[in-house]
Amino acid sequence: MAEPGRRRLPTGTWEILAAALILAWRYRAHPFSGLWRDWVVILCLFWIFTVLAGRTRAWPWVTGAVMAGLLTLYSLGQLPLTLALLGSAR
Amino acid sequence: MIPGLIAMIVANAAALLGAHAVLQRVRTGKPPADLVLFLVIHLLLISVAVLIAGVTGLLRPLPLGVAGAAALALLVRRGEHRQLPRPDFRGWGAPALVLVGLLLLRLLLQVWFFAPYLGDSLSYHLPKIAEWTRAGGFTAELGMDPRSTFPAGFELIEAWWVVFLHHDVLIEMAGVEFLLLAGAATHALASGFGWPSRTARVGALALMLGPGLYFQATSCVNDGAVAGLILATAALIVSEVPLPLLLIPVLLGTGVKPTFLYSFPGLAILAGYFAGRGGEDGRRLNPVAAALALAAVAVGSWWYLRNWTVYGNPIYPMGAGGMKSPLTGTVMQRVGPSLRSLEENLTCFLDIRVYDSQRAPDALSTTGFHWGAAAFAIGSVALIPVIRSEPLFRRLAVALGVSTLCVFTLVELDQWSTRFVFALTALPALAMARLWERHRFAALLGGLALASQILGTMIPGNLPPGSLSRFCSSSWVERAALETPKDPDTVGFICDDFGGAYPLNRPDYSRRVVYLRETTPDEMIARIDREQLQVIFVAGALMKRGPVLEEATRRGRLRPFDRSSGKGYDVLPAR
Repeated sequence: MAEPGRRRLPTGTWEILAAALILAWRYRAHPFSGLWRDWVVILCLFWIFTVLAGRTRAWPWVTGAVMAGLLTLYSLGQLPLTLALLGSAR
Repeated sequence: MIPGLIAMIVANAAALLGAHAVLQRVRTGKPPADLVLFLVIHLLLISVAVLIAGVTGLLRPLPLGVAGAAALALLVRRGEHRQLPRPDFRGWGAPALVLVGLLLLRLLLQVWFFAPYLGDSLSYHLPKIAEWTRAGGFTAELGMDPRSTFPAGFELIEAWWVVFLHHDVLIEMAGVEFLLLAGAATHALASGFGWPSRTARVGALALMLGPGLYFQATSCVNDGAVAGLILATAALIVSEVPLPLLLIPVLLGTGVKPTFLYSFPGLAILAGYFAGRGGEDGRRLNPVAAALALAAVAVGSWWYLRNWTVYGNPIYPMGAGGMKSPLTGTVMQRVGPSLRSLEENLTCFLDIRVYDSQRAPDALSTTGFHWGAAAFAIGSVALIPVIRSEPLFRRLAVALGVSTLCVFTLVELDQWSTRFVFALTALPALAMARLWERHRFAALLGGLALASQILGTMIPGNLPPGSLSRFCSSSWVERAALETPKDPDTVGFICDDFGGAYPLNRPDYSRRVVYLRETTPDEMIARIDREQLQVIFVAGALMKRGPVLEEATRRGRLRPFDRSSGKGYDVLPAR
């Protein structure tokens, strides 16, 4: 049983701390200019947003935007390779 | 060919009906879990049949066909065919049925039109299939690749699909069986979490359309099989099946590749979460389940026992220092954990490979993960809310996360090492499916991403240039990765470490390949004369064996050639 004077941190706080820790690691390990398109950074920011605003009306919109952004990022890298392969197979 | 075809149909009917009859005696009552059980029992029965036939020298169409006919007659006499379930597609909807039907048809067409083409398959997995098929049983000769003595549980299923026709046109069906198992396991996991059937189906489809895993099925390599068996084990754990039945996928996986064992700690954690929830039925020993577990022990341990007996080392040629290249001496694979490997694999995975932006997808996940747009963009984002809100899914995420870290700790970083963690792709597939059901935007974007994956799973990125047009234009009888030269029915083959000798056997295994391991010119020439070889094909730079061939050339016994079918030497008569 917890002591009456000691309060436990809410789970959300631990999650934000964990995400922030990962963000700090990415910041330390990679040039700042490229972090906007770093998959790990994007997911960590989305994690923090979900903890803070998971029940708001904005959440589905932001989630859709993050998914669409990542889909674009992936497609820009991958789709030309696949299309080139399909083109070369003719 | 026709008697072989009849034998194949009869033996497969017996294996399917037999697996269903056995399932009736161990079923859980949960249809998705029972489907996974059916598939692993089916794989186990085939493995046992090929193992026994291989050991006894009966790996031929007639004995297997006769045994299949006898088993089928017995099963029909007992009325087992009357217990077969009727397919139930209620709730699927016509568009989904048409889509799944078309994707299955495409998969079968890929099986039909793709000949084995991948370097690893041609060098490491398939030469032993050719030797077994030609000999009608297991052979000491397994090919020259140093990895050829590794466990061959996957090759047992491949052998099943070539032995009847004495031809490799259907060899990719082995991979297809494991891809279907992976899909069924993902479906069972979703059902085990209490998710709706539609969500489970979307999750299974998303997993199966992951380009790397998909191409594993049509490329004769075994990492997809390992992923399927990891997911099957997880699904059976979540479905709380008794321990003896859990042992079936665990031991089949052990017999396919040691990387299954590398993933085992995560599965053990998952089993720990669900321990003791099987109820009274889970604790009662079912004799049929016990017999299945014993058969799985035999199939899973066979290769390790063989290596122990023959080479004195169950994981031969791996030693304490791992496996080194016979040519360069560099460590190709390590033994034991390494934090350096973990750091390198994880860094490379997160910094480069998750983006899949280096190459078009292929079966080996070359320089990428090849998990597809749906997993990267939709599934990974969906993981966050789903992990936060679904306790059972969270357990699976922890289990597969631990498995992935264990694998990364135990394997050397190379261009292809992410193919060992294909099972991880089940997490984004399931998470995407869960959000698909709740939010229209997730369904829309997920659908778009899956459509791009349908495009991306048409042709594997490492198919050699010109192969596809050759596959499609040649008759199935002679369809092969290499133009099969019109040379004699016995040819020699030399390489230093890795060389794709398999196509030299021809697709119908009508040519014998003699692997020349001799290390001096005198021994080499004596062997060439003894085997009456007229042609020798070579692969690789031949830094080790090159001088032997040069000396034989200088003595006037060999003449080098470089044809479209490959490089090699014509053997000249002794003067």
